[in-house]
Amino acid sequence: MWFGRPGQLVKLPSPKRGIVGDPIVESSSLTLLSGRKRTQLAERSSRAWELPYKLLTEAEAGIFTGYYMRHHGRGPWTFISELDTNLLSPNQSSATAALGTTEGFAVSHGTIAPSTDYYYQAPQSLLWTLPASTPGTPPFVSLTWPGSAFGVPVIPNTSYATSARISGDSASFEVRLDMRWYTAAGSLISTSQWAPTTLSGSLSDYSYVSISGLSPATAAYVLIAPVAETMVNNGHISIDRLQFEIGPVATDWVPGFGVPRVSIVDMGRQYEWKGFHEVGKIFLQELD
Amino acid sequence: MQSTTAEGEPLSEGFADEVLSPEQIPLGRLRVGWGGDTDFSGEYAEVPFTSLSISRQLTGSLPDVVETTEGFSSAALDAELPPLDVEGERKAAWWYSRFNAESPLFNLEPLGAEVTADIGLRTDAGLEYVRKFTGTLRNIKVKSTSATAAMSSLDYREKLRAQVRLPMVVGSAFDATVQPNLSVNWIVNEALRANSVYVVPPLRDQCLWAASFLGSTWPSVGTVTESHIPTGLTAGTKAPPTFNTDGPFGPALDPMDEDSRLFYEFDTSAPSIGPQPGQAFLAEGWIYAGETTGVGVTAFSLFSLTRPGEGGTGNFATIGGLIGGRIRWITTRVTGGAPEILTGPTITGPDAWHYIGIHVAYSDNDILATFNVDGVITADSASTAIDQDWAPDWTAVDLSENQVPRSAWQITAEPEAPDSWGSDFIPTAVVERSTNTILAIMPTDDQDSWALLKDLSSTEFASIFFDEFGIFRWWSTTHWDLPETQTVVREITADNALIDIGYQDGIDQIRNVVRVHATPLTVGDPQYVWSSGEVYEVPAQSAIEIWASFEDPVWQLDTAAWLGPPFPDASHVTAQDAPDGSGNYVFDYTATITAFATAAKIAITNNSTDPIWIVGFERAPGIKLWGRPVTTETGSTVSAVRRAPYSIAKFGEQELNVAASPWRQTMAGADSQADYLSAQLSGPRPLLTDIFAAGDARLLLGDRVRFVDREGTAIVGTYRLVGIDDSLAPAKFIQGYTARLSPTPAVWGESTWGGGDSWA
Repeated sequence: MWFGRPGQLVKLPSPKRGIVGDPIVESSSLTLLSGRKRTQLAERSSRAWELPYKLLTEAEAGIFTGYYMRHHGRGPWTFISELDTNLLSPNQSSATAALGTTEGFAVSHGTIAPSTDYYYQAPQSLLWTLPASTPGTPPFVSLTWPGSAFGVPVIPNTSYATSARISGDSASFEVRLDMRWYTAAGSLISTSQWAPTTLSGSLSDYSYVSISGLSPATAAYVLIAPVAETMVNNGHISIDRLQFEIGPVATDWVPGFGVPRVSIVDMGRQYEWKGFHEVGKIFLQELD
Repeated sequence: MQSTTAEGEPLSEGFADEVLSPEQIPLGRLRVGWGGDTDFSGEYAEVPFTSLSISRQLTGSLPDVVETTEGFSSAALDAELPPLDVEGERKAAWWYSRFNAESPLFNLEPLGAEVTADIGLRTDAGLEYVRKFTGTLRNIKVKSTSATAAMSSLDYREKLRAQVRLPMVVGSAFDATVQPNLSVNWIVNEALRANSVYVVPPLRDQCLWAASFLGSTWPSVGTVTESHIPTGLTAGTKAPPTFNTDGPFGPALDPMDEDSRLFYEFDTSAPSIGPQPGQAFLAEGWIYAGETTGVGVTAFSLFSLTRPGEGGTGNFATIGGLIGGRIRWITTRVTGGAPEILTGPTITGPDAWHYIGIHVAYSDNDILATFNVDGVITADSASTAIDQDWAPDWTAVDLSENQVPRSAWQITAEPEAPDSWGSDFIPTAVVERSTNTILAIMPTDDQDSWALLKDLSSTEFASIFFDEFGIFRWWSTTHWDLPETQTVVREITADNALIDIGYQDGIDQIRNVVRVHATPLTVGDPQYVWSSGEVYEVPAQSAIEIWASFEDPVWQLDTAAWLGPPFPDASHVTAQDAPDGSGNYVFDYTATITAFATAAKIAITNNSTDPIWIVGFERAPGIKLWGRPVTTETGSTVSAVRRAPYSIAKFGEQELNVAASPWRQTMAGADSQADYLSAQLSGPRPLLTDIFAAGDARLLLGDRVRFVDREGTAIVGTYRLVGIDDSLAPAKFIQGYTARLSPTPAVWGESTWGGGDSWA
């Protein structure tokens, strides 16, 4: 688990068993006159973590107290946990199904919109409509992160993999997935990319596309980008089942929770004896 | 029921399904235009909230149990605001306190800022919002220890604060030459315009003449000197022009017969216009024309610019008109000879309302005309020397024998063709045709605009309010006869939304003796209506202003102030060189009288180097005003009384007094209202209470809904919503309703007993 500012993430001491990371969706339950129930849910979820610790050295406990007591300034803080496989947000990993909007996506050329006409997994996917003009460099869709313009925070010197299901309405489409590594200051370091995949020509026929690579030592963010290496004027590309994960090889898709921005909302600090502390649980709250 | 999103796009087909879905994701969006931001483009315009409530209630003058939907509504919004930062490390007070110089909102004056609120649902089409509120920020409350700040906002009703001084208008019958007719619509337009709320396009700068034609030919700018239609060939049988055509903004002027007259003189304070080098004007308005009105085959005059006494369409005049469907501007020469004719676009298609705009600019050697028909702009020009052949200034516009329905015309001394034509106009007020017949303007001096509008609407049981988008609405009682308002837009049942419903029966809801009072009017003979008892000094080369207040409104006040000793049967302002009234009259001064319905402003300027005193001979009144007082016919009100004997026998006498209104000016109006109320109130009718349901953001005031609670109260019936309270918190959207009975007439063979229909 890593914590802090992108580019300055610190490794957290390993908690003991019993980590809690509840995704909380606010809800209310209405009882109609007929006795029927109706639920109303909040649009977004947020997670609350409880990281249990037994005994920490003063240096280990100091990691938390440093952030909690604002020795590093004000939050929110980035929290990356290897415990979740898919590090994309719910709306990104579901390709717009979670919110029904394109939140979390941007496009360099053309337009993007949720589509219920085509999907790898119901009910919808992200549909990319290309215009009748071809840009100078291959156009791409990028996956955005609310705290930065350069993509999702990453741990340096770590293997990452990205995968997606992609279809297009022309067999002339060639697509690939890029992982573009950026420093904390927003300088492009390098790009992980493989040879493009030729699509089948049917929006209903999805190809599995993946990429993996090692984050550079100075990497703070990665801009994940499905790229139309060879684009088709007025063509359409459907993107679904996106996954970004830690590891050298892409694995089966699971729902993503996103790399959260959090505050430390509570922590303990018992003085067992000098140099060691019983902190109990560290409570983190995801912010939006 | 709203069918569009807050952005004006149609709601998706799935929205209605989502309203009924057992699992919903309600949404809210609150925007504040800090610091005068009107398009909400500022960084902090979208404000998070932990709770949002919007209340919109029609409050009327009649008991709640009547079926008539009437009254006025002022929507109010309250919200609890958490801190604006994501991390929440700043307190709400830090963000919203006006004393915190570190807050990004510091110095952005919040009070009066524009506010909108939208409520919606997550649907298959994404996040869809419906506009629920438009208004201004009235109050912010912060507390250092509180987790949230509180804000409250009211709709644009707060803006209707201007006091309205209306001119005196008597609609008909008391002057053969000037019979403008008079509708409440005309008054409403004038009151709203005083507050920059527009039924018809606002008056342009340098306006020479403007007439809304909303039920009266009386102008907003300029003076009407002739207005009548002939009902026969003999004098004394003239009648006011009529307004039976529905125009783009309300009642519109009907076509007028041959020998009808409609003649206006321009406002003398505006710049002059005429066919002279350097002069230009813009004339614009709406007409109803098309193929079946003969526009395509015959020519007719739109208007003539002229001078008083020099004829309407004679040699002197210059005519804007249509021929063969094409709009034209014709400039005639005083000396005769060929006129200059400039031609614009064609009106095509079936009968419809069309915007017409004509801008004409004269220079030394040419005439340039710019035409606009329904937004299609063309230009035409003619090269000709402007010399003595051409007329001097035009000071009047002639619309006599008006041949097409027309609405909202004005003429202005615009030097250039405008960037924004009337065809771009979007009303900020929509006013339906009034059902009240009135004769004369009544006193309004002590009222602000909202109070006046409430008085006017309650007299005829109309409904007034600003809608969710901030548009002023006037719904007449005939609004409820429209097919779209008869439609039941939603069934709210114990199965699909109802959380609670109840009703209240009470003997005090019965009214079996109904009295409706009216104030019939008459116009008195010309007489002195005001005189000053004071002696006024006007210092040398100075001016003073005196306000005269009349006990009764005054029609045809003589504003051509006679200077010097009193002149019989005329207003006069007499000045002398000493306050004792010794008879040494002076004449080096001017006096201007401006007439309003119940007041007049007398501005006196002393041009001499000595002081003067406004005083008559031997201290007789120095100022006397001549006019025709408008008084009640009987000296008091009259009453229409209805009694319901069966109800009285059962429940005792329960009386309803509908107070006299200066705007209920006919006995016939009182009679019909008494009949209506008596029929509705003589028997017990339950009043629905405590209606709560899972929210449906689309519902609007006036919507007809059907409540179904078969197992509990057994209420099954159609009602109109006269109050909606929205309550939105994260993951919770509840509405409370106030509703009035709105039964559907039962149809034999179709309706069933207990089905909620009304059996006559």
